[in-house]
Amino acid sequence: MQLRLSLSAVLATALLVGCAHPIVITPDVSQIDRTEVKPIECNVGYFISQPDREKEVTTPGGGGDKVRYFPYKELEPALFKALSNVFRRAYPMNSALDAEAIKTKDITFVFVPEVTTDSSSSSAFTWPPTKFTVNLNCKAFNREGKQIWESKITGNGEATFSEFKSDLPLAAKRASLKAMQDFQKALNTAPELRTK
Amino acid sequence: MTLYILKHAMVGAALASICACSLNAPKYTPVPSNVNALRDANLGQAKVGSFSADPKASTDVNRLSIRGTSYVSPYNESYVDYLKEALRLELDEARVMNSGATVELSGVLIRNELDTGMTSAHALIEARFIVKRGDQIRYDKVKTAKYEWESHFVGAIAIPRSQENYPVVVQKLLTSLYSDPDFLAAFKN
Repeated sequence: MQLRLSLSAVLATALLVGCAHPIVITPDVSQIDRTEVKPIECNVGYFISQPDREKEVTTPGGGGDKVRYFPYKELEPALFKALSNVFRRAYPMNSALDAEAIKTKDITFVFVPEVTTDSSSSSAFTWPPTKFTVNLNCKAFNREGKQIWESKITGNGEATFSEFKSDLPLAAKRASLKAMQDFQKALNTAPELRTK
Repeated sequence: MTLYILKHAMVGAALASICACSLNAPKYTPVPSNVNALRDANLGQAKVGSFSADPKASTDVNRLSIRGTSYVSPYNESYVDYLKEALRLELDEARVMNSGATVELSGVLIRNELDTGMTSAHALIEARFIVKRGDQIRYDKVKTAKYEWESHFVGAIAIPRSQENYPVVVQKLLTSLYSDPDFLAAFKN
């Protein structure tokens, strides 16, 4: 009887605290607005490789649990929004040097993002992260494939239990939003991107 | 042993308290492919008109739940407004929105369902879309979309998964709308 209870307790513990909870880190992209943008009148592309798009990352949550998510896939709408706000058009590309797309879509620059993330929680009793970090390193290449710009941005987000109880990945969404808003600012103020 | 039981009782209580509150649906995120489809179509300007719930709907289209927990739209707690805002956001991002336009897009939400089973889950949405230029109806069709995903018998896994997956069915509904040549033609002179 005691063995059965112990096994049940272990199983329940594994189910409750041993798992990696799926979350989505996409921010509210309506907060990446274009009101303060000075548009650049050219088309751009961005390249996220298929392995990156399918890459699932697991980072720490609270109470010994973890969270898992797809950073490239889930940040793509925000990346697209920031690029679309600054440039005339933004297109996803099949490769960073997709000559046909560069020609047919009249693309001037191709952006290649690299995303790393981390998370933590100050709570031993709830699994959603209370702190989240998004590092966005993005390089821009011209039509000839020469790198002409690079930005390294870190977005941090925090959320308390009372805030995240109805939106569990809130700290992650805040970090993603901050990273993408700062990315848009970096695009908007880069002189290299205003000289074709 | 006492500490062990206490710790896991608190984990359970914390999870229960998470689940006892209502859950918010994520705000809608425009999809790059949807936005580019609208921009590639070179549409004229349009405005978003009224959206309503189908009075004949068998269930309340503005009420969804996940495993008994209320799942609330972030737009006035209304899924009619969720659909309207999703459309407005994508039209705005495609630079089509203009409040003074003569072309008006309106709609009726007919079905809105979210089912979080023990092994699989799905969302289903059906809406009627109407495009008018002045008094002339240029487009009037019903579109339906369904999205399925893997679920889990443990609520702590299944609930957030459903919470984050619902917007995908709205994205798919709008994708089917934008891929209808009759819809795109209705915007043009």
